[in-house]
Amino acid sequence: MLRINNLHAGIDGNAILKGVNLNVNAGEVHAIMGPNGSGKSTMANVLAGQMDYEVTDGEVLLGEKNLLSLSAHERACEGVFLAFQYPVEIPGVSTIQFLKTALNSIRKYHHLDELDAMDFLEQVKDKMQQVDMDESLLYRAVNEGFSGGEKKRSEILQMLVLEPSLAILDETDSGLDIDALKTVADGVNAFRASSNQGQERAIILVTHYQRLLNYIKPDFVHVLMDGRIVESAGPELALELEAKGYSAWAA
Amino acid sequence: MNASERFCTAYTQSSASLRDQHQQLPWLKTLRENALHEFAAQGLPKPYDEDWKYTRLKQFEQLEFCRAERPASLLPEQMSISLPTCEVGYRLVFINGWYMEHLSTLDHLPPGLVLCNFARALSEYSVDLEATLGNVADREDQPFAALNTAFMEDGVFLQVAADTVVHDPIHCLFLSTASIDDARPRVSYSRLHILLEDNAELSVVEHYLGIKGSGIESLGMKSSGLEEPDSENNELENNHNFTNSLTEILLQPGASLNHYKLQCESPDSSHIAGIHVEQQRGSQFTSHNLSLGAALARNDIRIKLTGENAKCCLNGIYLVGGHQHVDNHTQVDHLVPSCCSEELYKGVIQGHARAVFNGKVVVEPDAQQSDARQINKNLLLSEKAEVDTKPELQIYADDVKCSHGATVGQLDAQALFYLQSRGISKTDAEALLVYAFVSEIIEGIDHPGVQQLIQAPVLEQLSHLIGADSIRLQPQMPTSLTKSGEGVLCH
Repeated sequence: MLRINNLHAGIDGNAILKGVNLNVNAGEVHAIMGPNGSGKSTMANVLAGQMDYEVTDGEVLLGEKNLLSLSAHERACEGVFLAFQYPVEIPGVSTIQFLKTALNSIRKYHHLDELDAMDFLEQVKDKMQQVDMDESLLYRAVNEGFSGGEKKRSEILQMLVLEPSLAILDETDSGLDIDALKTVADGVNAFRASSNQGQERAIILVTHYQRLLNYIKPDFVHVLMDGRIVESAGPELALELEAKGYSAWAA
Repeated sequence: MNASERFCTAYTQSSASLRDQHQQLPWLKTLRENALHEFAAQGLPKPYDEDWKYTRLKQFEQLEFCRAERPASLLPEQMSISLPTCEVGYRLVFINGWYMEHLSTLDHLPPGLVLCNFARALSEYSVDLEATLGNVADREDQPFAALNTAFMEDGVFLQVAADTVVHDPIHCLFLSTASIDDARPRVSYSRLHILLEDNAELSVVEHYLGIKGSGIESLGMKSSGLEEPDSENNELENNHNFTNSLTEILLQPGASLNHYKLQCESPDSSHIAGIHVEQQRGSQFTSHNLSLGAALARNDIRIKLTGENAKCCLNGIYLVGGHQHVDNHTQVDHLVPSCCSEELYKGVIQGHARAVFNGKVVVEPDAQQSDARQINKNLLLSEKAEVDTKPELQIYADDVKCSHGATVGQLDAQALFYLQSRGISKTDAEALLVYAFVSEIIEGIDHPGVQQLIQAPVLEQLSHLIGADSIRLQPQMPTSLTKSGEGVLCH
């Protein structure tokens, strides 16, 4: 589904990603781990089309499509979703209006009719229950005054509503207490499970800690160090990292 | 002859109808001539005039205006545009300052409401007008208020009897048409006189709309009404109209007025207006002032809080692009104790446009326990856009709460990316954010018909500024459940 070949990227002339290679197949969950500053968030943002980052080399294919040639909104319409580490507050735009505009934009891109307002609302309410979100948040401005947990739940809700094929979760576990972490993990697992129902889905989890991986079991764990993937293995690698730290790969 | 002298000369040559009026109403002649003297003494504002520091009238001064001819009487089906309407309510329509009876709907006025065009009121309600006309408006430091008082011919007269609550809004629609030939630019002086007796309640929409062509069906295609600024003008058309309007409002104890002003003049016209209000004890004045059109727009809003516990809420939106210039000067005088004034003005400025906001609050020594708040927020959409914002607090009492704040910013790049990362195109994301910036004021409009009337041209102007085809709003959920960011004033 996703093929990253020799990806180089940076910001303001500073190289951050220095040749990332990664293949993600439909149905798989990949965890990207690594110390602070190793390039994890940069990778997530570059894939989502954050134009502050400059791609200097390499290619990224989503299916047959050259992802790097698409704008951020086109990537979203093609099925890429980034759950933000720090979700942005948008005063004056209600969450429900935002979700509806987003979903209808994606539908329009695929030449589908807009959803009926009432059907849409029912769908969203069902999915809110899945992530244990209070319905009143729908009518509040996007992320405005949301607690850390509410913001992360809202990211997962958006993922469930927009139904992307590739979800990239950037430190979605950070700042969550254990109950919220479980709820968020349940949401992600539900999303993952739905790929068995004929939907092609893959997940990239960007995380510091092994903790999240207790709840969302990855198929592969990769260690990102200084802009390169230096080790890839099964879920047992996360446990090893938890025990030994990253020093074994330090240059 | 300079511009001020030209206006004075025009007065001496003024129409036969004015002279007839003066024979009938000697007090009106005195009022006009006093006003003319006040205008002549001040002249047009000069560049060194502090209140006009950022708004130069150099180009305006070069124009030689004449009064528009009275248009032929028109029926609604003869109009080339479908007139914008409130869902319900009463409507008075003017074309180039002239009252159009057949386009107006004043049937079944409720008891306690007197509503008619100003010219008619001069004959039918001259006793009421003699007692109150010109009493509220400041003319000494307001040359355009003086000018309007000298030349006013028609407009709206509104009087609401004590304890009368009028539910349906009064829609006052002032249309300006383009000149078809190479005639001189035209001026119209509209006057609104609004008097609410004790505990009366009323909503009024003052709506200025520039239309293409003459407004007559046979001469023009049906158009949507509001012109696109920068659109290609027919060379034969001269849209440089000048509207000089003045609204005087007297609110007696406990009265409550919702006043909406929607200015959508043609792109190269000038609009210089005053709204002067006297508020007696416990009265409430809520203003929504929207400035979308005109090359040069200036509003002077003056509120005098003369009775305790009076409250005013001034909300404003200005949306300008191209080479438009908009200037809002507001002044609230707290003359007595325990009054409250709130002000929220928001502007979106694009292209080479320039906006001026000057919010003056004067708290007199006696006005203890005054509560005055003022906020002005601006969104600049281009590098060349400019805003000059100035709060001006003069506080002579010691037990008061006063605050003010002004911001100037750009669209939040992070918010834009966030929206785009959810599949929303850049243009749509911008539209969403820009509308969100002004939506708290529009969604604070209580009356759904008025809200719709105002929302449509706001969206049209915003989409023009952003370069979007159109802004589509996803239907809103029940407003009772929505929570706006920072609390809209007074709703």
